[in-house]
Amino acid sequence: MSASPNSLSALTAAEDSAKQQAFATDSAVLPCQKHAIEIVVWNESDQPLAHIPVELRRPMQVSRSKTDSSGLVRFDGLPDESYQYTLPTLDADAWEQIRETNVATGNGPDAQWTSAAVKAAAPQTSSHP
Amino acid sequence: MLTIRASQLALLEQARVASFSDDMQAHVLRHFSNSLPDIDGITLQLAIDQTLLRAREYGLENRASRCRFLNLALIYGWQFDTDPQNAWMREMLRDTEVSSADDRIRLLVDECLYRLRIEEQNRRLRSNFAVSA
Repeated sequence: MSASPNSLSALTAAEDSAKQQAFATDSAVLPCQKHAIEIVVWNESDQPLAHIPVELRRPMQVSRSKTDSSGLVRFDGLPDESYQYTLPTLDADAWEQIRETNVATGNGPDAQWTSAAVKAAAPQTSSHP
Repeated sequence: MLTIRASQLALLEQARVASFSDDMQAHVLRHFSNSLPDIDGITLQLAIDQTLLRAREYGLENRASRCRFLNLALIYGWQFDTDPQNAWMREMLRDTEVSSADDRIRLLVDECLYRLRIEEQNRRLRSNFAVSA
């Protein structure tokens, strides 16, 4: 089954509704971790780079994700600790962090987050699947 | 001290599951009523429940993620994840380079929106070309 001409507007509106359910689960017990880290990856022409693997590390734990079409990757529900991130498919000298910001917005599940902006040389494998 | 037993938590969870299922039926009717096949309410509820259950097979536990999975089923077909035409979707749902299942479905929706935007642009270009030709 292929998407119809109205699919874009329907999926956009339905995705906005899905976002409002963020963090809710069927469990009656809610998680208490409130920290998040988001990283935005751009190329040297300030265009977002999609599908770039990003690794977030703390002792004994590694989380992996990839950037979306706006170059953003977000790690939610983290305990308040120190983290290191890398772009494992790129050489260390192919990218650099250009900014880091700490944001606090109150008491929600994503009440505090750290945002980092990264500039990277576009790898050969950054195309869409 | 107040002690909440596991059985009490399970009861609370059951009520939350039922209420989520109802919320999702309302969500489907709100966003997809134009594209829904002609099926009665009970059959629709059954299809929604089965889809939400299948979402769990991909490790999708939070409600936003299961709602996203349901959204894709409504756009690409109830069995979109097993349709050979959508093998790339299944690959993204099983991508081992992304640790969190919630991230995997979020990235998949992002990719679908990206592709739909491109299709929309192409449709517009084609219709402009047809008008001016």
